[in-house]
Amino acid sequence: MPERHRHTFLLFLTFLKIGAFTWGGGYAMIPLIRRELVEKQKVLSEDAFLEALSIAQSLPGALAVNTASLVGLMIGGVTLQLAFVLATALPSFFSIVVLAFFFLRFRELPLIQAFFRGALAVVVSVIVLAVWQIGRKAAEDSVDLVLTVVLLGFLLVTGIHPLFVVLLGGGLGLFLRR
Amino acid sequence: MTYLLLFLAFLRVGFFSFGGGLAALPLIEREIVDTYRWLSKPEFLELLALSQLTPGPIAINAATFTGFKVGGMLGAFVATGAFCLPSVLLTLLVVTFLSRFRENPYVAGFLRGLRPALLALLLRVALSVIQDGIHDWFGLLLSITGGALLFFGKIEEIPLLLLGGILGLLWYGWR
Repeated sequence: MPERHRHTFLLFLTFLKIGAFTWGGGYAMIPLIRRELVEKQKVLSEDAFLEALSIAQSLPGALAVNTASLVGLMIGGVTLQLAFVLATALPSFFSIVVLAFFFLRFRELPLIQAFFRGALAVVVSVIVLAVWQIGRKAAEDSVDLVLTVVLLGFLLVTGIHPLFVVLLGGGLGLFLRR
Repeated sequence: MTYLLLFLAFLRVGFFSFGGGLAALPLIEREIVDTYRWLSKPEFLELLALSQLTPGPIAINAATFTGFKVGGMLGAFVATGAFCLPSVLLTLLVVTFLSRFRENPYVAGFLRGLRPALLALLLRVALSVIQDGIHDWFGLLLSITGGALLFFGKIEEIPLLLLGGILGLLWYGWR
């Protein structure tokens, strides 16, 4: 195998490992990506990584996928970009397919239902706490708070598609935050 | 036809989920539960639990699960691919042409304005999760205790979910 392809393949494996061993959402992947690419393999500078991370946060999509895609482009162009995105999605993809295969067959079993009734009650805590933590950082001033309440009220009353709320928020930002 | 609908639905989710994977949840809920009814409300919640228990970004898990339920392996592939596609295209666009795009005042204003929108959407998801995930006083008790343990850093998400599941098994399984 030519040196360049070997290099791409090894980086692909690195990402596969990161994807397979980070539970609890894409955010958990970020420190691992940094440690592997910046500290261990030294294929990316600290500055470039931070730039990738901040661009990743301003684009739509999963943070881990955006970050993987950006560092791939920065290190080795489109081939590495696609390899990294694939490596980020694959472990998740296969574990869900296997789980879904069994789950969709057995979900009616009373014991499975009992398990999920308990698990779902704490999923509520996980989600509510995550929203609280994001909210504390996202709402910086009273304008944010007022807009949040207005947009939430609008959403609950009219039931419009969430993407219009995204566009509305961005549009209001154009007027208020420029 | 289903594959095309799946593709378009997750493409929309991918393009409009500003703010990371969690921000994709309100969009996913809207598309797969309300509009297309590919998952029921309880299934959507179970999907959230499964997503927490498996590695990887929550939105990828959700896309794969929904795609698999609706259209098998191919469905899972289509939905996951469609969700990742906007990421791939937009990052490519930014790196190639617009490396300073965020310094543009219009773009900066738009991005800043997304914060309350994101927050409103997340609150809406939190409300619907509370409504559908807690059925009785035992669930409420689990939920409050779990939330307190998480808040004070006494437990992590995955052990908490397994613990909740086991307690559920003991409590509900015997009745």
